[in-house]
Amino acid sequence: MLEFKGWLLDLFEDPREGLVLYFIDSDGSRHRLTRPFPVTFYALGSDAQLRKLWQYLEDRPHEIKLKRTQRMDVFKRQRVTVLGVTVQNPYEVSKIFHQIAAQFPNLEFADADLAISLRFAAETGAFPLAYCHVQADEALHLQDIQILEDAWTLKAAPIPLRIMSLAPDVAPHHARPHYLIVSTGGEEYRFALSAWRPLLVNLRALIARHDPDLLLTDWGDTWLLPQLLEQSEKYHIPLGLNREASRSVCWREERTYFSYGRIVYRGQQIHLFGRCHIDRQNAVLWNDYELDGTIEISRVTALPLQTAARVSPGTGISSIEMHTALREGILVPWQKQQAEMLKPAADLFSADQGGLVYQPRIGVHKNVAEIDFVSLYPAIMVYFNISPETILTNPDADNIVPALGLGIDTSQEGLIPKALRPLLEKRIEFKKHLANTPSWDPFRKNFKRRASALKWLLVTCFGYLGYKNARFGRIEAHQAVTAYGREALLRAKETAEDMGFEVIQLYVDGLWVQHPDKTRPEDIEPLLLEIQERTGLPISLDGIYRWVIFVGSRQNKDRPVANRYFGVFQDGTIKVRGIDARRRDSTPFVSQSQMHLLELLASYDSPEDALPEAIRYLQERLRALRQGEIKLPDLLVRQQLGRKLEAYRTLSPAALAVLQLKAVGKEMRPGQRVPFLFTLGKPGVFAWDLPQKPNPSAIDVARYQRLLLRAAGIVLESWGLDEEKLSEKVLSGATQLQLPVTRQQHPGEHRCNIPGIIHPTVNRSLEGHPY
Amino acid sequence: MNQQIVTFPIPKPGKISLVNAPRAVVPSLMNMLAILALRGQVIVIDGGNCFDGYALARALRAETHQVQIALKQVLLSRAFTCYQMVAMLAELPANGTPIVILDMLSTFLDENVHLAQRLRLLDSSLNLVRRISTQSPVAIWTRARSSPTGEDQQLLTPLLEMAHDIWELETPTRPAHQLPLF
Repeated sequence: MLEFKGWLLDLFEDPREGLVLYFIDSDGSRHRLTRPFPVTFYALGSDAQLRKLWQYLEDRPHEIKLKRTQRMDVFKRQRVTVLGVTVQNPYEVSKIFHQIAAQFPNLEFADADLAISLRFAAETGAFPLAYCHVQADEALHLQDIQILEDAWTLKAAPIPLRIMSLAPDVAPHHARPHYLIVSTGGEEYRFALSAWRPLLVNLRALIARHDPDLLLTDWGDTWLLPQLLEQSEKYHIPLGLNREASRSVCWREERTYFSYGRIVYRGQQIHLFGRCHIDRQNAVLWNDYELDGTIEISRVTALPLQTAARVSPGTGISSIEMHTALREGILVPWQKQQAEMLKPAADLFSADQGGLVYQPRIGVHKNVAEIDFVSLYPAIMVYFNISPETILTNPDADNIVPALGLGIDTSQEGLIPKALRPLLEKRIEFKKHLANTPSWDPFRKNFKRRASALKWLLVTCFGYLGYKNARFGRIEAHQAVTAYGREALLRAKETAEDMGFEVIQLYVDGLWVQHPDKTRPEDIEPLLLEIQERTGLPISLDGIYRWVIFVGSRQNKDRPVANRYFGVFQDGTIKVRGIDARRRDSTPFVSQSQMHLLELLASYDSPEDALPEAIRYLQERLRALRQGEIKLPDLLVRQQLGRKLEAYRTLSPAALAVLQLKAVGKEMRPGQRVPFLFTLGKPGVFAWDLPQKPNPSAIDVARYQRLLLRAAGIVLESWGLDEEKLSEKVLSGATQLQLPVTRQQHPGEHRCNIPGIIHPTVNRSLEGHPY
Repeated sequence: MNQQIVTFPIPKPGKISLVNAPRAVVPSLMNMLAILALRGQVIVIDGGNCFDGYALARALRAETHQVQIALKQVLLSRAFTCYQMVAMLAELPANGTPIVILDMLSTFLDENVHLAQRLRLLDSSLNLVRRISTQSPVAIWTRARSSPTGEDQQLLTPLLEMAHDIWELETPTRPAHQLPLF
């Protein structure tokens, strides 16, 4: 008898043994256990159809067991009669199901295509990376498994993962790598890629010696592992990438898809058996939450680590919902059939709206408090019990959704709230913990990354309610969430106004309020309590800005843009939204300069005093640009290829760069980001990943200058220096800036809240004179 | 295509009218919907999330000042997958209420579903449309793509074979700009 405490590292179906499980023992050893694991899916249809299916399957008793039973259909809000098809070996279930689906196309199916880890978690409670107590017999058959920490534990015992890192010395799509750098057990090795045989022999020895649980690679999915596998086959030197020696690695194809109106590219994937592989360059949101967050995603979604690293937060949410449904005995539809209710077109105007957004007042605002509902939409789903099955078309008077005329059944908790509640509560706990964790605390980074992972899941869960392929999506539920959201924000606004605050801006789940006498966090506390009282939803203070600036749109400076602002909190933290410093497609040269200007403004009590230094800084940056002192990678623009090359009518700079790459045999797919430089002459761009090096003297300096001045103008405009004036000052070579106008001289009442603005008459007289 | 020029004839019971045209035809379809709504109830199945409520309201406003009442006559449901399209058609009443199906093929162009399955579901949908059309007038709009693929044509062909009236409209190419003589 084997008994130990440890972590469930990986599990997968096996053609002979049913289910294979790999564990990390807390004593440092690793175990491979097996157990039979029959899997059941359900067919729904008329009695006659189900009888035919029964007849079709009844002569395979060793392989398949059939049972007529009843299960809960969440869309029909009742238990329905189904035919349960239990496949003895989970390895066979996909093949058998697709045979049946093809043979009986008019049947509906449920629980048919679920990940084995979800089924195992639903049956035993043990999810990937769970800390468990395990018992097995002498033949290493799993006998019992009990979890010792659930997925919602805040301070989970750290997993003693053995990690081996593999990376080429340079990005392979940019240039030809020469070395493979391997780090493991505190040692680093460098193998020449020109000598494959010694590389393979040494790498195999390292893998055998260290037996890593996790291969953490750069470009492992798309370049490194395919190269290693190809050479391994060529030289007949098996590497032992899998712990499960009998299996070859699992390849998954690259794909491009639309998500939230954005085109997304995911490279091909290579999954291992018995150990995990994560390609940091192909993992979702790796830069945001790294391995800690990925482990968190794996635990709460019950998806294996290497899958969790590569799936979108939407798939993560879907897994949580399916896991909950399995536990509750609710059917998980294979293809959702349920459609939108017929409703009068007039209702669409009131129902089909998003979040509430007010136009902010352009300009500088001082001592502004930003308060946000905590995870507003998930909180609405949880606290107002919004789920596909809880939406009532004939509502009773007590639970009517604002403006929709639909009702909510609150007699029992819906599937979606049940799935989301622990996630939301854990996120709130994380926030509380983080607020009380000092910056030196070694757990802080871990908490931040895990909290970020949960945030992404929660951000996505609302969209998933309306997503066409979501198993438990329903458009009326989606609309109910936004309706409650608008109502909550309006109530918050009214509360703030009732308490004497001026509302500067409203944006979906947050509001910016100002009161001349309430400038400390404790002054805002009564407002938060009152809003919480009136809405029933948690709300918190994000911070109080020393100053915040809402800027106008690029096309029309007088037109406010809801989510384009920047400001400095009282503790000196800078918050930026919608401007170059935050945008992924701006060059580091521009975004870093813009951020530097913001830091400069933030470092002065009166930001106006920072302007002379800002001008000097910009002049210095431009001098460096003109003299070629800015490193070329800092001038790179990274734009996304929005469609296939053939679909462009007018080629964008990104498309032109892709065209250059195509000419040298490098293919790019829609959704991929293309790094390039702006250059002089035609075609005006130079693709960074071309084999030849760019000519630094061909850089389009004037274009980068324009980009820099435009970005600087956005930040300095409210202090009296828009792009045009800035160009005059910076390009004139003048270094001294005098602001001749005192605040009392400000002309217009409507603009007197903008400190440092230059009086138009004075400004005119200054226009011809450099400072 | 001049949006205001095209006026579609009102579909008749027992008949299936098909309009194969680019998206620019939507305002004209809203005009047709407005006429139907002024006569009584009409059901719209939207397969491409392209129903334009504002265009419909404008079309109604040209005919009546009781726009809200007329808007209530238009019952709408949106299908986002081909499975939903079939489910929706299966639930429609065949009681004489005119049915307008917007961008019917959009949900069948879903690459996440195997083509064979989509063709099967399309076949089921068309059978349901045929059944409904025996009692109710049915008008279908299919969106003509700027660069149609073989798959587009494969999905469109059974609709063309089923329809009694077919309108095929194209966006005219813009005439070459003629330089002024003086």
